[in-house]
Amino acid sequence: MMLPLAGYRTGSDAVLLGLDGLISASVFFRRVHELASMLPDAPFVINLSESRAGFMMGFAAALVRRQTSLFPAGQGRGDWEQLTQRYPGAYIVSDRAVDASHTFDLRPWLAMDSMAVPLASLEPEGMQIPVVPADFRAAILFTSGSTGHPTAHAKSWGQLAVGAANLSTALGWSPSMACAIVGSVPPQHMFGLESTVLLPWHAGIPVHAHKPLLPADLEAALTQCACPCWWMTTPVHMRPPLQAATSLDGLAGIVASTMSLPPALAIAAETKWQVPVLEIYGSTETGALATRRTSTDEWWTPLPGVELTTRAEGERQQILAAGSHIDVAVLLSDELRLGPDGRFLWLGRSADMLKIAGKRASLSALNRWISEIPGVDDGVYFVPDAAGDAASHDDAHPTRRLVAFYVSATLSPEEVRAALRGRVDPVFVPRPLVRVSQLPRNENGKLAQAALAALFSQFQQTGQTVSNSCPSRPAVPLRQPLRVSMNHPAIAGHFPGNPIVPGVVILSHVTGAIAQQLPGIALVKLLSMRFHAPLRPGQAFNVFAEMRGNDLSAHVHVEVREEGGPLSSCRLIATGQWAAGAGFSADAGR
Amino acid sequence: MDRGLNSEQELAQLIVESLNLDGVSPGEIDPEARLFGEGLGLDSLDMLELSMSVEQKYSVKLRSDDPDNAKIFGSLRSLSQHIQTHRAT
Repeated sequence: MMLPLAGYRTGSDAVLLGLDGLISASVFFRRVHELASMLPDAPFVINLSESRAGFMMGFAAALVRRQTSLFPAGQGRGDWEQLTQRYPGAYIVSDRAVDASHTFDLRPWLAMDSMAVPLASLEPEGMQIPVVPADFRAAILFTSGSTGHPTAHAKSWGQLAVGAANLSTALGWSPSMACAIVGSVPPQHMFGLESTVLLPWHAGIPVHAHKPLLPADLEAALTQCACPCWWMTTPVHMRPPLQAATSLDGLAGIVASTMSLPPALAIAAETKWQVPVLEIYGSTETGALATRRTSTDEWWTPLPGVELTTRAEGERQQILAAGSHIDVAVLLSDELRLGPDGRFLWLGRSADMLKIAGKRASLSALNRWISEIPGVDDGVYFVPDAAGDAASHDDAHPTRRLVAFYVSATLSPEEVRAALRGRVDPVFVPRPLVRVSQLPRNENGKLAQAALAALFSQFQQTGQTVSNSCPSRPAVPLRQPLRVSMNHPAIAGHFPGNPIVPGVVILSHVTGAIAQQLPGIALVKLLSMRFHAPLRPGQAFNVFAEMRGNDLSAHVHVEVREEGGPLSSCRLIATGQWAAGAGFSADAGR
Repeated sequence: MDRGLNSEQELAQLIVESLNLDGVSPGEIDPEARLFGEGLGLDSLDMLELSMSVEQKYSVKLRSDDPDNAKIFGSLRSLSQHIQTHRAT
């Protein structure tokens, strides 16, 4: 089945609005066909265009040529460079200079003066709207997966076109709607693609050619559009014009997504600008799934054709989303409460996924990135409580900038930040990035959110964290550090070329050390033993044994220092817990 | 010229404070170095926050899609000059 690319009714309908006037449908599609014939032969094209005009022109031309468009998660080099390797033959289209070998510069195609016509001279003329097979793989979107490698989400043209129709219905838009769209979100992300490219194409309405970011940009865009405008945005972008009391004349409505919209913000925006503020619930996997008017409604209404079903998975209930714009039913990572009328309440997002300004990242992947930087011994990200932040700073810090703590003997925060910048999207580069002598890991090596919150508040109050060394360095460490030599019989097979001291060898050293440090105590039973980081042969380590309270258990911390050097860090290698022999108190060994 | 240097320092202070730039002292910001991308490494979220602080303090509305945008946000010096030229007196 073939589906049209867009629903413009006459050739004089505007497709793009901007500084220099408008681009009509007849001109836009004529240029799209010309551009399509000039594109290089390739199965894939990476569209990095930042302007709506460049993105639309490149995407439409790729559809005409039946080339699959790849939309990376960010504009950083790390975001698109690996796509050129993963999709051999892929080339880049962009509306700015990109330093890569296979690029097609769209800028000559976007010179507005060669296309734009003054409003008065508009004559109805013919247009050639392309048609695309419904099953053609139109686009692949990328999100950062939990492994740190981008996950690909393929979309057929049918899915995208039907999704736009469903979204239009859900927003209550009539087919004869006379309005324009202004977008502050990047078109490469699912919400941006749906709301600022596919929705206007489907509805046959114009979109502003650029991406207004600041309040004054938005004001200018609304003036240039000169008709009622819907603003596709995020809660982050809504705050500045509200705070600056920007008037936003010409605004007809707001659609927000990518992170949850606080009801107070929605109410403030509706009061200030006297327009409806709608929120979209969805994901890259599913596209838009539901909408609500956040100021008045807690419950979400699913898009037409969307069906949510529950599935018991052990103790937990999982939610599957199916629908006419969803390929195979998708398991949601959110917890929802389904109401009898088909509407639902959002209870929470799986704690691992972070979304900031439309970018998303897995917290565990970020923690891995920072910990794996050569020279960093331990590291963790922390998400400051957004609600608490807003309350205490009265909107002074509307963006939920991430915080991170790290332990390193050698690296300054600037160096760690530079290393992170090469790997993660700029919005996930933490600030502040705080160097600490150790992280407040508990005896299991886990970092409790409460402990990180305490560390963060300590930092906020004093500008520093208390410098102490190992967390519970209580009893007497051995006078001489321990070492497992390279010649230990267990090392040969563990592992060739990558020698690591086996856990069982560490364990036997630990029990020996406890016997030496706390000679009166008998270890009756090993309750738990965890290994947090590799110990290399030859590395010096220390064991700290401690009796806690009267629970007769022992906790062990291991310190590492580089061969011959001073104690450089107290990386936690292993922790263990024992039931100890009765009849001893905490003072027994001291 | 003194006035220019003073206003650059004042803006540097505002940047460091409003963006929570730990480890950067206002005096360290090279007035000619790029603020966004490389250089100080600021991003679009910072641009949003900075624009709010600048508007609050100087009553100057900044534009990011202004044709001169790259120039205005190019460095501390250019941003400071833009603010001094446009600030309400």
